[in-house]
Amino acid sequence: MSTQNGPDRPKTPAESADVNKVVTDTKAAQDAGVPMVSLVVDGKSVSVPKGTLVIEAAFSAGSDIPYFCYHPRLTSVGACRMCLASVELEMFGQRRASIMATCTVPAADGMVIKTTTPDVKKAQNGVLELILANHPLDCPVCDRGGECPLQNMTISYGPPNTRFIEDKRRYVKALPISDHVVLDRERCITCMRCTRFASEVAGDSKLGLINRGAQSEVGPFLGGTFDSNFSGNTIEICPVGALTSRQFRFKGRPWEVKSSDSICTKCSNGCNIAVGHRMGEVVRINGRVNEDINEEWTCDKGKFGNADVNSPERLTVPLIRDAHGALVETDWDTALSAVVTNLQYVAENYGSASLAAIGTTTGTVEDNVLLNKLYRGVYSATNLAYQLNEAPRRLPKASIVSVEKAQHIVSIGMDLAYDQPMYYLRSVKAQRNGAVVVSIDSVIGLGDVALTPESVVLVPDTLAAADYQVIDSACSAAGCGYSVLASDANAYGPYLAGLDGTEAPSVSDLSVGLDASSKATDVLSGLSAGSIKHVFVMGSDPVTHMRDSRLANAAFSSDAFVVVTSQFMNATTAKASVVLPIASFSETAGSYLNVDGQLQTVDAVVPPKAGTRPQWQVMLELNARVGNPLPVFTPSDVLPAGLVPGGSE
Amino acid sequence: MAKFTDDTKRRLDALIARYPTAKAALLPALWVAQEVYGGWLPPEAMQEVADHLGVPASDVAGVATFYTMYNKRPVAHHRIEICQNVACMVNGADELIGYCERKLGIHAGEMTADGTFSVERVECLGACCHAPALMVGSTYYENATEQTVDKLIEELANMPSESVNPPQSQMPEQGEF
Amino acid sequence: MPVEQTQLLYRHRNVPGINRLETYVAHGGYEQFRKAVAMDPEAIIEEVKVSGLRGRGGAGFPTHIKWNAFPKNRDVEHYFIINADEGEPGTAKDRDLMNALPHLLVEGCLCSMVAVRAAKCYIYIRGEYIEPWKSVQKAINDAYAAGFLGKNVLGSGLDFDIYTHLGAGAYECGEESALMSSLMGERGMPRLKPPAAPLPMISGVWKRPSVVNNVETAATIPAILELGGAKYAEIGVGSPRSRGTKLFSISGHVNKPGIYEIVLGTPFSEVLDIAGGVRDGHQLKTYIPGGSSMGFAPPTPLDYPFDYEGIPQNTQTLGLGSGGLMIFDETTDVFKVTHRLVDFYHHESCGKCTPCREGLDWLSKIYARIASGGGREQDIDLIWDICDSIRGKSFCALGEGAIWPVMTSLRLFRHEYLSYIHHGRNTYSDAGQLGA
Ligand SMILES: Cc1cc2nc3c(=O)[nH]c(=O)nc-3n(C[C@H](O)[C@H](O)[C@H](O)COP(=O)(O)O)c2cc1C
Ligand code: SF4
Ligand code: SF4
Ligand code: SF4
Ligand code: FES
Ligand code: FES
Repeated sequence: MSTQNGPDRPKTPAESADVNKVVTDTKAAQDAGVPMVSLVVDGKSVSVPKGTLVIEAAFSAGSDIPYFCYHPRLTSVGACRMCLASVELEMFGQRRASIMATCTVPAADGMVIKTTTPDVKKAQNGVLELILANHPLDCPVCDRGGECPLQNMTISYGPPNTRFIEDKRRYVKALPISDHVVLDRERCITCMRCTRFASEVAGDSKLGLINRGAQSEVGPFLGGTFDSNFSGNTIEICPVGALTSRQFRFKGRPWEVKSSDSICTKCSNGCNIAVGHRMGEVVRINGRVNEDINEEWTCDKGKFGNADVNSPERLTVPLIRDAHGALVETDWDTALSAVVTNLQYVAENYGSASLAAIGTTTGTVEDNVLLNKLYRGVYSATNLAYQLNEAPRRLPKASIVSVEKAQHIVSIGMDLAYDQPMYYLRSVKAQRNGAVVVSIDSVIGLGDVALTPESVVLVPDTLAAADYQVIDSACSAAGCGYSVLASDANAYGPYLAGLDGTEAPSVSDLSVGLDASSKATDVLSGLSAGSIKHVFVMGSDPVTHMRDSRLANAAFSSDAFVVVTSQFMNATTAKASVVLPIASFSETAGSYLNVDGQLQTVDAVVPPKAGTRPQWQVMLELNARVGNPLPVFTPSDVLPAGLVPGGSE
Repeated sequence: MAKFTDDTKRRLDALIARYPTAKAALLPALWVAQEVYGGWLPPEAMQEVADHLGVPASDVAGVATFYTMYNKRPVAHHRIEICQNVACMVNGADELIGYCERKLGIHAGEMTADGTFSVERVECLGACCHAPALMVGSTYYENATEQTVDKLIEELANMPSESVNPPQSQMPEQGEF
Repeated sequence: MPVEQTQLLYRHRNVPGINRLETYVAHGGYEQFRKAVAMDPEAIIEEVKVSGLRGRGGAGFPTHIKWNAFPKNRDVEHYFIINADEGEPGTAKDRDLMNALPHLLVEGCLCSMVAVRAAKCYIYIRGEYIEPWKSVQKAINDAYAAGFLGKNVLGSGLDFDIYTHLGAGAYECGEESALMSSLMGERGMPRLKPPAAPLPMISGVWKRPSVVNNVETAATIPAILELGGAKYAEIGVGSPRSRGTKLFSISGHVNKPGIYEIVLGTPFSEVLDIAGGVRDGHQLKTYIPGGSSMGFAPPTPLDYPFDYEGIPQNTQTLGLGSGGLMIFDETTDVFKVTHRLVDFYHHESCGKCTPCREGLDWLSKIYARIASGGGREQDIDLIWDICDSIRGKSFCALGEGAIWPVMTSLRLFRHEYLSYIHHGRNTYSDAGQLGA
């Protein structure tokens, strides 16, 4: 058998990410003054923080050890035995070298590691031959083909032809185990990454091993489905093509898919993602490392929900209400002219008090800046709102990353796994370290929870005002305070854009807290009273989402001129005078402030769906059409001074 | 349909009390469940155990399917389990298994049409010095011969199924001393 | 002069009613516990050290070294765990001991618990052993009633609880770390060991100090305390590192199969004689000295000390193991016996690691093919290579144990494999007589 080593072996993106993590962790630990141990790997001395595994020390030394079950974010199991190398160490008073699974052994002072000796290569090849014995090697039809370490290893130094002439294990090939995930048990190498993920990271154990020995297989509870909000991650960490995405299935070979960095805007957490796209179409979402937010995970809403960018339901043509009161398709020029005409008409005839706009908490900061420039800047309008409902507005006391260190976590009125997925994952980590995690449905249960000054209390931004009072008094009595967690991807973006008139708004204002009341209520009251005659609704759907739905309905049934930007039809667009179809998250650039105050800026990944335009460009053009041309080429040109994007790495 | 009665739950709680964690009571709890569910563990049984112990259902299934004595499908009233391992094998186990198969008209691993008997090959029973050995319910029959099998089948054929409970039903209670 | 077979564990084996507390006490039962509970734990460990006792479960690891690794305080709960999962083919001694002498086990546990400062003991009994389980549980209940278990036992200020825990059919749960997984309600998969993890004596079940000992190991402690470690160490006629007596389950083609307590170092020929010799009219072909995982031994030499050192040195098997001595005469089809064992290990592999899970799956398929006449000469090298890929690479010793019968049978009986390959049957064993 041919044996190769080192840089010659092609690495999958996931493997490179693992190595990167190890190298960064090592640096960080070194800087933090963690005690180091020194050892020799393939003749090279390295120092690594105490607790580092031998395989990781080898990565730090630039050596290559193949592996399947090892994963830097999961506990070691030593199951696949691929990572065998020669480890010389002192045990029970004797110094000797033996072949060991390097993903299980912590590096220690004085160890001598050899990864390339003939013995080591023979051992690794032996294991590889056994892994391949029952493996179908159907790479040409496997969605993992092209980024599969097993395929790479087989090509690089696997046995040239199989000695296995017996029948391989057979199973039903593609078994859907949830709406999102397909399982191919023939390809499974029983590395237990997915099951460890389920119990250690997702904390829901929704996937487990059943049967034993050669009959072992992974699966959800007998006859059940893999109904976890984090199921998609198992697709990414499965080292082979045993778990694949129903969405991505046969959408393209991995090598045809380009990957671009972005962030998820499906909720406030702001997970870092890599958007896979092919010929301008988004085909998959993978997690991307950000240690302060999502580590490398995503939730299923982010991983699979973002496929709505490809939805045939997307609005692709502007709509305008015709003389008979029906919404009909029109072109951009006509639609924008109609908006400008009405804007100028109302401003001239009724004054700026008759103009209103509602900013976006799902679009970018820059979208809001340009909205503000138009309404406040050009027309001195002050009826500019963004928070649909009343709720405390301030950055949470507990950041995402801080939760993993908490001892007592109380979440109220949320399903944390679905409503604040990254807070949830950190709470699982905390729980594994002994924290008590309590979830109560409503404030009614709060009396039974013993709060201490160390308690971390997590609250959604959707409760009634009275509930916040109850929480506030309970938490101040206990001296722990509480964290209100925003739901939308850019809950504070409109504020940072100056939409409420604040001069030089800054992120630190948000730590103090903003006015809790809903200005949108005032706008809607103005609409129904007839004092407001023109409103620009940017990317939201007040008719559906305002708690006071009677008011919302009345407001949008008035005679006022209503402009709505949206990706889809909704209850508000149905009542609009003009509907502008806008680009989605992956099609537009801009900045978002996530739930715990991290500002992240992204580029567009794919061109806007034909017929749609990015919101910021729409606003730029409207500004220009009313005589306010702005020297803006990218959204960041209008990012307020003092907002420095960070976080994303 | 949940089958655990208050009495079942009391028994489970007594088992849980023996260990520092409820999860540790999983094996004994599955024995109880197997008894309550008539000799095997349908998914509902595993779910009930999961709920009572507060252990994820997939963990319960993982454990139940790992151990061969938890039955994953209905079993015969009387299971004749014959050791096929080597001490018994060189003392005629295969011939004895063949005899049972012919006598009952079934293959090892099957049960008779009326569900009364099954013949199963099992691994070393720890009775190697009295080979061949077989086990029915919780009783061992050592130095087994064709006559042993004849007598057994004759006796058991008329025994009501409920008199042959799965083992844990006879569990001696830990004394409350 | 045959070696005098001192009986320690089995001294009262045949006393009627010795399984009952009164009878056991009438024969000096629980005296050693009375002694132990008043002793300094270190003094007990010292006696065990001097006695030279090595684990009777299979690995033969010196018991005192394990015990000494415990923290010397009671800051957290310590656990003493008995391995009564006896499943190694050919091994039947723990079942007999638990059926016949349950109080000896309970007393052994109690003495051991004092030594390792444990208040809690779990006896992990394999699921098939319902009768031994009832026997032991009854002994435990009676010991509670008699005040040997419970709170402030014998006024010592110490509490002792013993619980039985029934397995459910998994040979791998006899492996001590898999046993711990199973005891904690998990799949019976082994856990990481040093240097990958702390010793169980530091962090075992529920992350607390724990030790796993075999039934027989614990049952030997009262005898050591009675005799004193030094006197116990005088018993044994072979290697200085093999002291005392050991229970052997002798099975297969012998006239008087049974469980015998044998002084370590007794010549193998005498051991054979004790079991009545190879069955009449037949000759020894091969034997497995200590449970199937040890592998096959050649019929000669016969006169060597049957103990921890003598067996591996003289037979090139893994050794004494669990004391399951299986005798095979010339009628035995060694290929077929090996095939059966391969299937056994294949069935019992927990599936955690690739070498054992896939290697045994492959071996089992190759054996089936050879058995049904589809063998090829290159299969012999292939079998050897697969063994090589398992050897030293599997996660736990099950994989290692599985390949010893394979490798030793190939080494000693290659011609039988070739016979199957060339003729589709074994021309070296008279298959017609098998089982006669
Ligand atoms: C696959 C396997 C099965 C084992 N089965 C048993 C067993 O049934 N009983 C036992 O006492 N030891 C068994 N052992 C050995 C145990 O791992 C362990 O060494 C022993 O229980 C320690 O007790 P001792 O030191 O008193 O011998 C087994 C080991 C392996 C690898
Ligand atoms: S499905 Fe994939 S991740 Fe899960 S055990 Fe199998 S190979 Fe590993
Ligand atoms: S947690 Fe929120 S930001 Fe992260 S992937 Fe899910 S929806 Fe997207
Ligand atoms: S060797 Fe591996 S597969 Fe076999 S029993 Fe041990 S851990 Fe399980
Ligand atoms: S990577 Fe080390 S055993 Fe799997
Ligand atoms: S081999 Fe049959 S009982 Fe041991």
